[in-house]
Amino acid sequence: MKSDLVAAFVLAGFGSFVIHQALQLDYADQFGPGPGFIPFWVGVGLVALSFCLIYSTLKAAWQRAEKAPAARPPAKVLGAWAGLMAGIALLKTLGFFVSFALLSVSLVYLVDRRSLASAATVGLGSAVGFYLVFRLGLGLSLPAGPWGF
Amino acid sequence: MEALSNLVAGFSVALTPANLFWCFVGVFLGTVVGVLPGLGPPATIAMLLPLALKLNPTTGLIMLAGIYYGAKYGGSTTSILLNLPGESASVVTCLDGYQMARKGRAGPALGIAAIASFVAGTFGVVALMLIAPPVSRFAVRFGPPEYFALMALGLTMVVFLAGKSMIKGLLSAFFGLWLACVGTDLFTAESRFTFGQMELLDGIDFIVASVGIFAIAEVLANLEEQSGFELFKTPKGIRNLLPTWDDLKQCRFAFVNGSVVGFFIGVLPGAGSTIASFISYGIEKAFSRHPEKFGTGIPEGVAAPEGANNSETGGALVPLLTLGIPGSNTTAILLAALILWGFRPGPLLIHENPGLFWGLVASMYVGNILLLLLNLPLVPVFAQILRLPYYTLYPMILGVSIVGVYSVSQSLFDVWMMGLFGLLGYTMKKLDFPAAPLVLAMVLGDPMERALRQSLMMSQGDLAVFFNRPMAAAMLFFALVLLAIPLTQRVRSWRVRAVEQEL
Repeated sequence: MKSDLVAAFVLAGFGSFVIHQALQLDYADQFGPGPGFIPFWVGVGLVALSFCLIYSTLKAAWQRAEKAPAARPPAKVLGAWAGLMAGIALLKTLGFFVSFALLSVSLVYLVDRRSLASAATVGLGSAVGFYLVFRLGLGLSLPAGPWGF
Repeated sequence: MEALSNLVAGFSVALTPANLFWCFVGVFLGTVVGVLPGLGPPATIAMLLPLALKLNPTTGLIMLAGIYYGAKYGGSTTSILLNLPGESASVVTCLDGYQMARKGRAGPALGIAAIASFVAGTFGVVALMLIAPPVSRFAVRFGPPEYFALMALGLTMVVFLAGKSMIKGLLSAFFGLWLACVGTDLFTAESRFTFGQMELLDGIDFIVASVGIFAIAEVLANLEEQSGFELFKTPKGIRNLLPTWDDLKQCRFAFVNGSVVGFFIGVLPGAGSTIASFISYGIEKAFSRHPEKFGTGIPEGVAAPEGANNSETGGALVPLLTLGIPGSNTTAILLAALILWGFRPGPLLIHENPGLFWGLVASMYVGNILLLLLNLPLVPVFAQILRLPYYTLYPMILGVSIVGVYSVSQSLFDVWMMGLFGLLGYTMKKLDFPAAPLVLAMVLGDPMERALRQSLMMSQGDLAVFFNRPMAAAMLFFALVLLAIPLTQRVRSWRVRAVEQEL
């Protein structure tokens, strides 16, 4: 219930922002609807539906009179996502193959809690496999590090 | 006659060595994806779409379609051997398939699933071949108001069947429509919601969003739900996989039922193969002489749903290829692929590109035969894939996603966006917001806006243009009815039951 309320308030705020931005654009021009027409109504829809969600959530909670636990992502999921974003951040500096190997090792070792040997095998194996398939096989151009790959 | 001569021309396209090879790659990957629980066809097609774009369009489409229908074949393997559907469409197969496996009849169950998939999959292709050309000839008469109404109806149907809460489905659709607004305005070239980022001037690439929402979000969700399981022993040797003559005789009505029901449910946007398999199973049970035996491990209980979920593919391709309207996540990605290849999906697609359409249809006949040959003798091999630990798999999914997104635009900005969409997709999953309306709204956003604004330009801003034209008015009326009927308690409870089955 709490998660739904939070989501509804966030979406209502976002919808208000969309309306505000749409009002900076022309709602209509001499030929018909302008660039602000659709965004304006999309924003109105988001706000209106968010309030419907707030109402239905509160109504359901009041009828059931029980508290559902808030949906919270486990540390493992957040860790994996943070690892992915860190891997993406390293793409420009280290190139695809090295940053992908590091990403795989850290995910398997730190997030999945496997042995360092398993993590290194997965990381190295998948990086080499990717190099063979995508770079040599398909000739794709991927971000390169200081060592040229 | 015309269809037959076109089909012959289609076979000359489908049977070239390159197309045969990529058809095999598609159906093979599809079977693997179908076997693996947690990795579905939308995620796989989204990941591989950038690579498919490097192929000739007909070849690329043949491969992507192969993944789509191949996954339906593979999905039954885990349902029968593990009681764990590899695909949501194979949920019903667990009911009787797993019971057959427990009785020591895993082989015949897998064999019946493969034969039903082949029979119904072929029926779906025949029906697609016969129905699509007349539908597209009829749709040529559509103007912008009819197109807008049709897309609004398609989107409403997807929202109607997408999740337990219609409000969440609608919010998801509106958010998708906003995402489609980002970029340069179609008519005035004014930038909208670009926040000063040059990279956003062309809008948000659909591939970036779909890879994030399907592939990355699926990896994150699977990390949370990993659990151990025990695999039934897979029978070795083709003889042990063949059902008896009595089994096949018992299934004859189920083959027909699955084929017909699956195709017609597939044509409806939003309904999908899961609902098709449930309805087909329900019909089979209702007309059976021994309904009490359903759920105890009888072959009809496997044949009907497996047939329906395969025939549905042909049905789902009808609105996509004749009207340019996708009815599901997977067909939305196929639509994006067609647009990226430079086609104009709509009523003229078949007329302007007969080689593409008939080549695809012919490749689906070939693909169904390949799948039958792959699935009967190689089931034990595919079952071994289930022994792969997940930690060896998900880094590869992340890697393919990064490579796919980067190779389209050579832009690291898009890779960042993919990561953000991954988190968005995961959050939506956790909060029960359906992804299908968002994805469909994102794909349909631009053409819908174009059709709406063209219609209002034609009428000088008068909304009556949508009500003076009977077809547009009828479709909009039906869309409004769909939005309004869940307000009645009876329909709401039916809708929630249908959606729970789909989930």
